[in-house]
Amino acid sequence: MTEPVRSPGLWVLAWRRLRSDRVGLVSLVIVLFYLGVVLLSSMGWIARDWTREVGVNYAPPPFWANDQDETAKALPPPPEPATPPSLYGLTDPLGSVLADIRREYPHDLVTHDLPRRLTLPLGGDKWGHDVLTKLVKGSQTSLMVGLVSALLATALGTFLGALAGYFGGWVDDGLNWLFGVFTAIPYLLLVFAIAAVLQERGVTTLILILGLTGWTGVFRLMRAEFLKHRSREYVLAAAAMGASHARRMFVHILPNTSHVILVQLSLNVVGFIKSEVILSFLGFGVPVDVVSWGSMLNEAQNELVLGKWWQLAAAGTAMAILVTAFSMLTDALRDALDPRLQRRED
Amino acid sequence: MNWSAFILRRLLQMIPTLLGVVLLVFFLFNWVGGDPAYLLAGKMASPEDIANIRHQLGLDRSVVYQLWVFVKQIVTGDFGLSWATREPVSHIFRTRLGPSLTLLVPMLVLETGVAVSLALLVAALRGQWLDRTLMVTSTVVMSISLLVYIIVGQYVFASLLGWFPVKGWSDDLWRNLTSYAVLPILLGLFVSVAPSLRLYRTFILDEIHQDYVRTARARGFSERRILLVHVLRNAAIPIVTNVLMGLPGLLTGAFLLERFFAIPGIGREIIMAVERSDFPVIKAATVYVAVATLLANLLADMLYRALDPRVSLEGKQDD
Amino acid sequence: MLLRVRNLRVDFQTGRGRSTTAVRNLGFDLPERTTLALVGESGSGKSVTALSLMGLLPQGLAQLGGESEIVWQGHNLLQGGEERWQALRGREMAMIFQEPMTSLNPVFPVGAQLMEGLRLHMGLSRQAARDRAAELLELVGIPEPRRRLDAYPHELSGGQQQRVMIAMAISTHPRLLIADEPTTALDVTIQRQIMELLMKLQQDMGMSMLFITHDLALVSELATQVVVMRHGELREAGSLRQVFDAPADPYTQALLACRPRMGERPRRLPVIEDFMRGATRAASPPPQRSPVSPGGEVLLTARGLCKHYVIREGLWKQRVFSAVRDVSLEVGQGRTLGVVGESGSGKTTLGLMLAGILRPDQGSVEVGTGPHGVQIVFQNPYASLNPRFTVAHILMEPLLLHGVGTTRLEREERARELLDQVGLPRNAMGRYPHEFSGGQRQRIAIARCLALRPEVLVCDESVSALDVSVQAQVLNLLRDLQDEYHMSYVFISHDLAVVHHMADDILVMQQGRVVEAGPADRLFADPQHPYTRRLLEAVPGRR
Repeated sequence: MTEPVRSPGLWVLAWRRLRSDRVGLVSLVIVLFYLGVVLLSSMGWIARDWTREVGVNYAPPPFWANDQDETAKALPPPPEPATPPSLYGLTDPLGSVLADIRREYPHDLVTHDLPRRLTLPLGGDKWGHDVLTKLVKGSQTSLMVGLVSALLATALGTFLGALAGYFGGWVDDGLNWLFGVFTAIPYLLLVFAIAAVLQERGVTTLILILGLTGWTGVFRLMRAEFLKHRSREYVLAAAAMGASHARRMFVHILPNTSHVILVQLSLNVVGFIKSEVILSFLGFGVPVDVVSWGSMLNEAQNELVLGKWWQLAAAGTAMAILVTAFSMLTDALRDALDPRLQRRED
Repeated sequence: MNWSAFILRRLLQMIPTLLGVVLLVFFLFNWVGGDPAYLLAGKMASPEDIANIRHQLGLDRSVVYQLWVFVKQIVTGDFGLSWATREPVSHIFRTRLGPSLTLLVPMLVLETGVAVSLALLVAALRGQWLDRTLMVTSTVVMSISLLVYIIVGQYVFASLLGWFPVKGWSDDLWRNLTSYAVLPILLGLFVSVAPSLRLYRTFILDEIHQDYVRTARARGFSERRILLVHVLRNAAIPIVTNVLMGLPGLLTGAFLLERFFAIPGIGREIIMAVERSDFPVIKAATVYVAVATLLANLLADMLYRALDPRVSLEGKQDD
Repeated sequence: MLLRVRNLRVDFQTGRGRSTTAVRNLGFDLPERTTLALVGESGSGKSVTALSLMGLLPQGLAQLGGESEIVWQGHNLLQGGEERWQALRGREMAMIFQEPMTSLNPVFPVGAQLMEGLRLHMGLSRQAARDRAAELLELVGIPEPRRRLDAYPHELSGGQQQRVMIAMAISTHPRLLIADEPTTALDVTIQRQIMELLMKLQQDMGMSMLFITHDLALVSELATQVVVMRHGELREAGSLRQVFDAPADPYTQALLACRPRMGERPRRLPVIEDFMRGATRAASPPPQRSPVSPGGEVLLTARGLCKHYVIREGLWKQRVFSAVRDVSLEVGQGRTLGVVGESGSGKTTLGLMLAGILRPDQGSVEVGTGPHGVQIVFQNPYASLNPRFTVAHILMEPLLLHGVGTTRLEREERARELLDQVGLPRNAMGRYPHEFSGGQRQRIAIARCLALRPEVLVCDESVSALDVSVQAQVLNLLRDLQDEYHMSYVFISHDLAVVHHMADDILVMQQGRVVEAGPADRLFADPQHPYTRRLLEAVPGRR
């Protein structure tokens, strides 16, 4: 059965407004591009072999190599791979492990049969890894950590905030106490403390740390929203009709706060990506065999002193573009979803 | 109700929150992370070593007893020795506070001043090209990682150009302020002004749209007077609250600066403690920073009530 | 001539190069020492006109038409440049607004705000300005003016805040005072006081006043000239006598006729369409309504209702505030109980308890068929419908909750019937609330209540937010539904004329208590309690 008139819902209207916002649309395209790259990379279709040493050590990007030709010739050849240190009669504790790895993955490690390239599109790192593929892999890690932990934190904050704001009373007192405890400790310090305690590093650990500590901002806003909406007349009318608490909370009020949730979600994604980068940079984040923007920046700080700036530039730029696009998209979303529809001078 | 009663009441209200922090830290370090004795003993410890260490740390006693010991440590301020350096924990904090403040206080003052003046400027020019350009610029500036600024800034201004020392610290406050702390402060300022500017601009614009501004215009006051007297006095309430609430965040926010520029402050100490799994230091830092946070919040609340005549001392502050 | 307006046109930009016209082709004259009322419903452009006279239209958004002329004592302000206007604003022309609370700067004492204008515009010294400020507060009737100088706006009542606004406006002896709905946010007794103050000041100071309002009854008391506007255009202009006694324009005629009046109780109110179609006022007087005889079955009984709120004051102290104290009432089938009272009287809390939304702390509510036999229609048509639901969803929700209809199709059919009952087109089903006007939304809210076939309908200020012309339509709809379904109404309102029109019995509330109750005819004709008398005397347009 079709209705004679079917009006566009608020989401459709919001999408129309977003579509006519050029900055917002460009930002959306950029974010979608990143998400596409992450998807392809996590499916293993691209950047699977980032560990292969395809170039010479510190292979420069092509345009830089030309400029530097003279100096490159003048420089001594790249240093030989470090000779195994003398073990003073001790057995290398990792020796057997390394032998196993060599036996199992001969292909990944044995690259000397391939000629190493002198330049790479975005340059190479200390071992001659291709920075471009490394960047793709790093983006995957950083973006995944940011997205999943933001989803976790936003869901947790929304649920707890809804309970506190809707019911008030002792539920609110209890959850507010929890909020007070978590906000008494500055966010990064809390994350550090947890990272110090949890010895195993891993992407899942990182996501859990960020997600379980980052819910407070969403909680505060959602509590205020539910507090405001629970005495709105449409909710009172639902109560008069006999709608249950759960129905009032999640069928009536929640959709009316969805713009707040969405904006908080995208703010959290940006915040958690930044946190991940700092944590991984300091070595408290992703494990050593995983590459992320943070671990790339960590390597890059030493490279910069040698004048090898490309890994720093690649990771820094990739992150800056994504975060800028995400922030602009957040602003555009805020405008598009604003129920008052009237934001003029901002 | 007078101020002393108000402060007393707020201090009492802090107790449950502090208890929560203590419990959180206690269970985090005693349960979530597994047995600290294994950590301390190293990779090649015998069961006897482990038992020995457990006894030394009191881990073989009951949970209640361990919690009691922890609370006693907090109250007396005696957290024992650092696991890594054997330096008394209390001594670590006493000596690292100075450098941190040398970095933070100028940063806070400069940041607030710069951000508020810029926010007033862009609010006066709202919608015009300077406003829009500054807003876009600040979004882009905020998007580049703090790490990139520090790495590049240190390399360019200290290593390449030699305008500032690359790293270091001295015992002389003036020398620190004029030499070692300058580049870190400028870099920190550059990073923190952008988000503050955006926030303060919203505070000011929120006020500009209020009815009382229309009244002031109808009374024939100049735009300049309206902005600098009527609007600023109102916007000062959220701005001051925000600056104070952000104080503890800055304390740890400067840890990257301290680490890169080898400034012997609290932030750097915390990072090193996490790297070395130096639990006593981290525990003490967490609890004391939490106390500092709560005190800063109290100060913010007091100023808020002093600045806003609508809020009485009796009322509950509901955010 | 103090002020002459010709060809005034104001366009507002609505984004992306589009714009709407708020005022077009408006012209009127305002002589010295005269009060001119600018009357219109929402969207008539009356407030925009006032702002454009002051030069206060939002910059960049509003555009004055090129032909427009605002002539102040012979000089066209639109050609003089901004400086000339700036020199007049706050000195020669002053303005007061609808919301006194938000119109005063919350962080400065009222004395400081008064002194600011005196020092800047009158060049008074600090001490002289302070003395003059106290005199002004006394002039506008604020007790203990010296002490009140140091009070902050929130420490004053709404009426006192508006008095302070008036004191600020007149402090520079303006020749023109623009008052934009200055009493709309105030209780009816306070409204009366402010009106009297404004009239007195206008006389004493020899100002002209431009009084902007939606309420024709107010106009009849203070204006000598009237301009009626609708949709940004002038409908009628003339002297008070002429506009009230012999309105030429059908819209003016409609406005005068739609509003319920204290003297009469017609079964139906005339609605605006009747006039715009060309019917004349001379049509036969509407039949008077005969009240439903008492003695029918009692559908709603409340006994000893109390509601307290505990206000936490600090950690240890708390104060109990009684919103409703010991209220009992009975409503018989087909009858309407009117509840009147000013803000803070507890009438809304009472309504919520009757509808089963708030639990009373003491006392009981008994309804014939159980708790959902009472439904409620709220004041604000913009907040009472869930903005994320379609009309179909809104109307089918109660059916779904109560298992009415076994299939979705059955429920959809029932929802369509509900739309018919409240006079909305069936194709409204797929639309969202924001696409409807205030009156239409109130119809949707009524339809939602009807879905559960309630015995009692609580109307909490249900027509207060609506324009006069729409108000009449909704009142007629409520009347029709009552006749058809024999529902009982509890009609809560601050507006005595509307309650008088609707109710058979009346409950007068003050500070949570019932001060007087009885049949409507007797109560209005012969009020016993002094508060009831004060309320009735304050109703505008009775003299």
